[in-house]
Amino acid sequence: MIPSLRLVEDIPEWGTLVALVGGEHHGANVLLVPAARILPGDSRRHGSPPPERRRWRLIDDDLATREVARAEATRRAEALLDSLLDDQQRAQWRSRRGFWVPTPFGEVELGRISHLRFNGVDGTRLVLCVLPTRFSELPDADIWTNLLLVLHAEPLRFFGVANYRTPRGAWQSGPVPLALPRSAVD
Amino acid sequence: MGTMRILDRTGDTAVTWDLDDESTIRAAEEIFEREAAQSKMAFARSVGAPVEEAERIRSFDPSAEEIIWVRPIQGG
Repeated sequence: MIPSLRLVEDIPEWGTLVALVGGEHHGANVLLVPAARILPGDSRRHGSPPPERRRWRLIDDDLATREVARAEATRRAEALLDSLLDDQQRAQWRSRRGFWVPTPFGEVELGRISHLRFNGVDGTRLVLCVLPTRFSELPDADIWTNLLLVLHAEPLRFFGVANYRTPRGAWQSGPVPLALPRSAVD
Repeated sequence: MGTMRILDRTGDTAVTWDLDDESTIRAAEEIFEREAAQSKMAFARSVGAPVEEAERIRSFDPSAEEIIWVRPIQGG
């Protein structure tokens, strides 16, 4: 996990004191020093005494709490999605944050909001946009869990509500024009 | 013991029930009905099973190991 940084205090002439939020060293304080203070030729490096420290500001506990909660939500959502994927999808998700889902009508790539690639069984190439309601509340991985389950169980519902466009075309309202599944043609 | 996982801003909220405790089953069933009334969709699976083994369900099944609730979808 990549931690976030939370400002604790600006210390003039010294740098910026930040706290790590999330990750292995959550809660640790780190002093970020401007490069000009330590690069060769900076006369202030050895000359002037450090300034008197100001009183520390109160740490924004609410912000830290929210960040920790968000990190935990992301962890739960990632674990749930991971458990639903097959090995190939899991490898795709881990390497490029997207994975292909087969359906009777073709395959859909989940992982980019408003840009779901669809390769139809008849060679059609489209870009789809489908989202869970109030998706902005959800961690990213939950969005894809939501769409993965619906797409797998009820692909016609998925394609029925999707907006779509050709790779260079304008958006059109669903349902997506679908070719018959292979099983229906055979 | 079964668990419902309702996707939300916390990742998911878990609701558990115990087959030996009728009150927990009734409570879980009420929550199932509440979520269904919001047009959400429920999928049952064994814990950790891949999506191919997840089954859409429309009524509460106390024997399910895990029920995942997802939101209705719409064109974006």
